[in-house]
Amino acid sequence: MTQSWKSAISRRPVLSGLIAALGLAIAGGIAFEVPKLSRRRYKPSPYDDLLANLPDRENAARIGAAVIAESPAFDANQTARALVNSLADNSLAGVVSADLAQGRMDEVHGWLLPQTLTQLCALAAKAS
Amino acid sequence: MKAFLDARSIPAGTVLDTDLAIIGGGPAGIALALALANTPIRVLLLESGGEAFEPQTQALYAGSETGTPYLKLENSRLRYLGGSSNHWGGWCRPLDAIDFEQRSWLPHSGWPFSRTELEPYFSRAQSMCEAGPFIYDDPAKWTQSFGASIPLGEGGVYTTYMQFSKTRDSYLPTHFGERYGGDLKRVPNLSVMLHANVTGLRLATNARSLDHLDVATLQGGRFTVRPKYTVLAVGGIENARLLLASNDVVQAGVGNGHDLVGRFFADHPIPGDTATMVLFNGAISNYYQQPQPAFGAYFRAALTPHDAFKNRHAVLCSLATIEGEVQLDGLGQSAVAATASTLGIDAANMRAFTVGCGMELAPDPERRLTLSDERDALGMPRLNLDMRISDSDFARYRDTLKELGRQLLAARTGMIRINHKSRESWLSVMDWGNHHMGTTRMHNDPRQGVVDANSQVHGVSNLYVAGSSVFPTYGASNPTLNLIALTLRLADRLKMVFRS
Repeated sequence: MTQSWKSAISRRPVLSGLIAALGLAIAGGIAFEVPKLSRRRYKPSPYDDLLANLPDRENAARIGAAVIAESPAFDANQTARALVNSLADNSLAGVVSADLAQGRMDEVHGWLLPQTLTQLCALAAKAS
Repeated sequence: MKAFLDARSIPAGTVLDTDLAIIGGGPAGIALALALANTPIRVLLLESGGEAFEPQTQALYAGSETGTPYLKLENSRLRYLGGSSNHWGGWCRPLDAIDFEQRSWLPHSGWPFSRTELEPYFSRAQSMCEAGPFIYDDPAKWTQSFGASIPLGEGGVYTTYMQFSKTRDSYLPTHFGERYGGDLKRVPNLSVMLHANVTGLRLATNARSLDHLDVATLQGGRFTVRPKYTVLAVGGIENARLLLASNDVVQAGVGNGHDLVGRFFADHPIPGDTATMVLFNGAISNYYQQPQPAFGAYFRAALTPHDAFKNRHAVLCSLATIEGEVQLDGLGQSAVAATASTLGIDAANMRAFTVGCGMELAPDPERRLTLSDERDALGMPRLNLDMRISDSDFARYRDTLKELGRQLLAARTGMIRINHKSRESWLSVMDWGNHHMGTTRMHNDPRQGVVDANSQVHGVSNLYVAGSSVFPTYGASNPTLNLIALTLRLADRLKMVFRS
């Protein structure tokens, strides 16, 4: 009588492999999810696509609060529309460089900042 | 070597004849006297003070001040041999070419000649100031040996280099009385008389020439000097006072037929902490913050607008200096963090510095000296200064700071905060350079200037004025080097006059 093909494969290595694969999946999941968990979560806003350009949204929001305090009539939606257009085909770095080359600067509590950065900061403050 | 004369020993009623009287023993008077050494011209230099500070003599400077808060008139200058070089900071820099130009956007601007007229004299003036070789805006000389300048994007502001007068091996600037006293005593055709206060410039009856000088001492002595020619060199305030007070023949005073004497007074405002400059990598060459020894001199960098930028944006020459390190507040830290991250720059080593200023004022005829009803111990009328700064003077400097901030960001080097906006804020940090200018301004047209292009008082054939009181516009450069160059030019003029 010959052994069935099932019995020709040992169960122990298969189980070990499955456990290892499961462990790797769990570890990978943790590695993938933990930074997301530790990252600051923001409430959803209409400007999230724009604000994704900001590498440092917390500090930007602090500047933005000062912008809004100095310009109470700040129109977030109009600013957002303009930024969507200007950032549609250009990186933030490129648009900021153009601001500097053309002298488009804003003064925020005395700090001289590129205009596009100032506007994004104000949106970050509005969204926070 | 001969000793200085002392006016206190001159008998009352004496009349002294001389070829040339120089009134005032400050940098201009001393430079002129030395430039005329070993010529056939007999020179008498009349100095009000002695060889050291004397309170009674200094008190002759007291006056009153109205308008924008300003220094007390008796505290902003010194009245003894060497004059105000005795409290000089030693900063030297030639005026820029644009300072001499008539600018359509700047009323009352324009000298009667260009900077090229003074260039032959800068080297000798530099030597008198003991400020080392004449290098200034030759940046390679400084940066190759002493570190890189701050990278700035293309634009209107650049790094300029100031040089410093020093007394031999120390940082002290040249005190002209102390430094050149021995030289003055060795000049055979020169007599220096101390404690000699000129109290009147007495015109001939036709008012076309100066006849004699009234001289007085604080001890009551009175005598007369009768020179063929006279050079008034008692500083930007006293030059005007003596001309205005000499009103026995012409009621408005000498050289004041068009009511210009005493007008257009100027100084360099030096407001503190005008801005905060952040450098993202924290790197700065020492010569931006402190004078550094080099090539037998001392030098320090400042940030100043290009002439083309000045014309394009109607700004004056006001320049920025970088001073001590400061800490940023929370908003400042956020501004740096948000900006640096957006630019993709690591600002972990960021440092911040406070920014100083040497400001140029626009010419203003209403910023003026007038005689008051008060009199000093010699019976001379005292002065009132009506001081003014216009809001546009501050606004123009803010435009230069904005351009500097833009260039720092464009170069990914740093950024700035402008610390003052309102007039009150600017005035709260105000100090002054003690650079008195403009009150006997130079212009070829007697309706627009007190002296002509040769520094001769319009309409008075034998009276000249030396010093920064003749500057029609002022620049942001410290005046001493420039007024000495102008005085050396006057010396050449006088040699020609005497030859003819």
